[in-house]
Amino acid sequence: MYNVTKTEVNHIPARIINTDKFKTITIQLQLRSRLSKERVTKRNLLSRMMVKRTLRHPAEADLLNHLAHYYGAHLTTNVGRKGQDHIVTFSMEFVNNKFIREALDIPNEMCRVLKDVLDTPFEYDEDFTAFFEREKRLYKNRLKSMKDNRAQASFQAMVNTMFEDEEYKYLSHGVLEDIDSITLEDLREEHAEMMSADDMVILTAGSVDDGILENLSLIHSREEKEEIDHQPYPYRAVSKVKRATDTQKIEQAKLNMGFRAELDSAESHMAFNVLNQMFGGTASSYLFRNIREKQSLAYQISSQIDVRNGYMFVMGGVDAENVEKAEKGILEELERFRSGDFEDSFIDEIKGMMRVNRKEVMDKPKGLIALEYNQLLKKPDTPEWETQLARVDRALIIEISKKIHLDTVYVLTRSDEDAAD
Amino acid sequence: MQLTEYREIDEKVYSHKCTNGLEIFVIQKPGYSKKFATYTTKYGSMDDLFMVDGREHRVPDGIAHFLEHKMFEKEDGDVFNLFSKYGANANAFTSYDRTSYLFSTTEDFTKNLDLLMNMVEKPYFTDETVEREVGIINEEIKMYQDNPGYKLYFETLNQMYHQLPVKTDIAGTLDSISEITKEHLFTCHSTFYHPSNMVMILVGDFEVESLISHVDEHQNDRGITHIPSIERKLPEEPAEIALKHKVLEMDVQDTKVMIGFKKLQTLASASERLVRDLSMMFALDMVFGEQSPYYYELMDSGLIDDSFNFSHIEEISFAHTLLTSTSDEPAKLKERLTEIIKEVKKDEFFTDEKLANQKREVLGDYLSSLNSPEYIANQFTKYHLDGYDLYKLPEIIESITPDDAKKHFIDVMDPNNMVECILKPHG
Repeated sequence: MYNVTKTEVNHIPARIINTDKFKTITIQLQLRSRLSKERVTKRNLLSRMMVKRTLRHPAEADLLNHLAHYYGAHLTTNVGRKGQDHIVTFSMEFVNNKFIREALDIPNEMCRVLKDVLDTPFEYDEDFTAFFEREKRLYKNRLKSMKDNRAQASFQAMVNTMFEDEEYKYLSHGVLEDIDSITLEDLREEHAEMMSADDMVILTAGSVDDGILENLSLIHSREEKEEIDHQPYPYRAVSKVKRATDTQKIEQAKLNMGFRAELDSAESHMAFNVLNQMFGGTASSYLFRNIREKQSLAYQISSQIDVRNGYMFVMGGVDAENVEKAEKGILEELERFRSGDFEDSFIDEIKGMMRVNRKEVMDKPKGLIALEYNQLLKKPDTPEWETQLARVDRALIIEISKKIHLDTVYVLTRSDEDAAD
Repeated sequence: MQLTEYREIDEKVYSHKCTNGLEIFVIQKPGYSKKFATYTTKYGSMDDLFMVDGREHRVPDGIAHFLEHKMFEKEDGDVFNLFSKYGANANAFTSYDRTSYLFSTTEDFTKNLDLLMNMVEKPYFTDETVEREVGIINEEIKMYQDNPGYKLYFETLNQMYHQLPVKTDIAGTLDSISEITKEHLFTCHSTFYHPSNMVMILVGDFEVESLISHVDEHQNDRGITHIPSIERKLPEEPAEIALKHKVLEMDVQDTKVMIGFKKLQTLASASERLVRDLSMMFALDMVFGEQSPYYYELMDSGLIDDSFNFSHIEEISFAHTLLTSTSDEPAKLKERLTEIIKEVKKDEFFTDEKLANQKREVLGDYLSSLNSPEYIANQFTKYHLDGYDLYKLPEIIESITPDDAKKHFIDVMDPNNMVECILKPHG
């Protein structure tokens, strides 16, 4: 259904995923560095500015008009993290020329736009000051309005408590309090560092011919390849469960719990993944079935994991009176795994579901790219995904469940005066 | 079985109508592992007063959504878990005018399709399960109440509409859902889940003929011959707005504002509505979009930030345009927006050149969306129920002129039908 060409373009590793099923071509640049508080906020601001104004298109409307002319090509940026790393992604998605009734070399021009995007911050000067100040204001507003999303805000508060003195608490979207002090000079330096020292990879998905390599070579050039090793954070033992509570004028309380797992092999990571799906990762999970459906203790209840780092988070939207009951219920559901109180058929069902989901991901251009990028970050001796999954069984799940430890409980609830209403 | 080929966009659609009235569309996506099914009834939150075969029924608000939740529960447990057992991801949603049940999978498609059909066609309601659901849905309603964006949206709708049930939360209220009985649910199910009121869309890489005959056989086995006459009744809605201005307080970081323009729906034909819908999309983009100088003027003067958003909604029974943003100065923003609306009426603002670029962009977005089986299934259903064909969209986009954009913009954005709702932090 698709084939992948592994190559290098101007000393930058490249992966060309060739497939006929999409009507578009997607090009993605991944720039990876170690996550740190000093960097994360600057990089968010910088990457947003980069996709809005360039030297060739010095006003946003110019750039957008240009992209619109090329049949609404989508230029976007995104920040995320994996393991100890922070990743800035630039994506360009455009319609395949074969659906266009005019002579327009879309891939060539879109690679030129990407080059312009990457090069522009070298030239940031006074002319960019007003734009820079505006982007700071917009960025602050975005982070502030995240606080209006109770679920997101309480998750952030739980992370702050759990990782009090660890870099992990700086989520990939940055730190509100750090925005004001950033200068344009800081961004210029951060950009120079990003262009010279980051681990950069180019990936594409769509129906392309050999000409694509020539186009990709327009984007950027390096003297030599830069590689950064990819590592998770080391396991940190839990000595005592941390607790924190905040109040707000709200209808529904949010209960967030953070766990740390001790994982030491590819199989243990995969077992952790399977366990999470069974525990709270899907609508057929124990948390959903028992806490929500059977006991009506929550409207929302789910768990998610950072599989590389071995962190598990449970998030629930619960009635303010039911917070303690829900917490107890959640821990009882986890206890099931430790005592082996679960069906083998459920393991098979979840594994089957994971296979289906993985195939479904391959039906999306960005999904294919993400799988290919993960492949690239893996250590060479890591077994294939399917091999790892096949090795996960009851014994391994029980073993892993005993290595998952509750670290933090955070509750956002309504204040007592409101409860009296 | 009928085949329609759309060569320009390289898409094929097979359609079939069963003898009991159910319409089926199969959309071929060669090379895709994922197969996607939707089973939709033309029944949504607005249908709370209706006549069936001459008899009138009034049911509590929120019942369509309630019914959607309850359809997953059967005597031997939750069907949701069965989908998962058969390797499918299932879901459902209720909107103003429809309820859709859907699943996607890469394995055992027919087995899951049978499960979907049986689940939607065979109701199981008891007093106990109905009562338990009230608790679950009440939590859902509360969760939305804490969401500032949702609150602002519904308050704005309430300022625009006097009577029309679009102003009521799709999930209803705690009071209304507490009135729901299993008898209500059976009535609504037998009325609106009748095959003649439903449509099924299947998207993926299929063996089409055998798939359609499989569904056809299943439908024939149901032995349904009577096709009921359903008449939906809507309250009389005046053209005027209900309340011009409102200020709310909530635990939020910044002030948010929403501005709405009500347009009493008088367009009877689907194609007229589609033309207005697309004309408004282009016009709003030309005036307020990120390619417009007005956008940067509002941004640079600090009246809006990048949460600024606008949309025009065109439905069979109502139409309106909404604009929203976080703003420190909502009064000034309203004033400036009103001026801008006047300015573009006077000038030659809606040009061929601007529209041509907008069209290229929309066409590109449309083609990208056709990468997604979900998008196709959901949008194909929506367009079909509204009386259009998703795959003919490029032709209609092509036909829109700058005059269409200008005419509809001026008509809809009438300051007399404008409401404004402001959501401020406490204190």
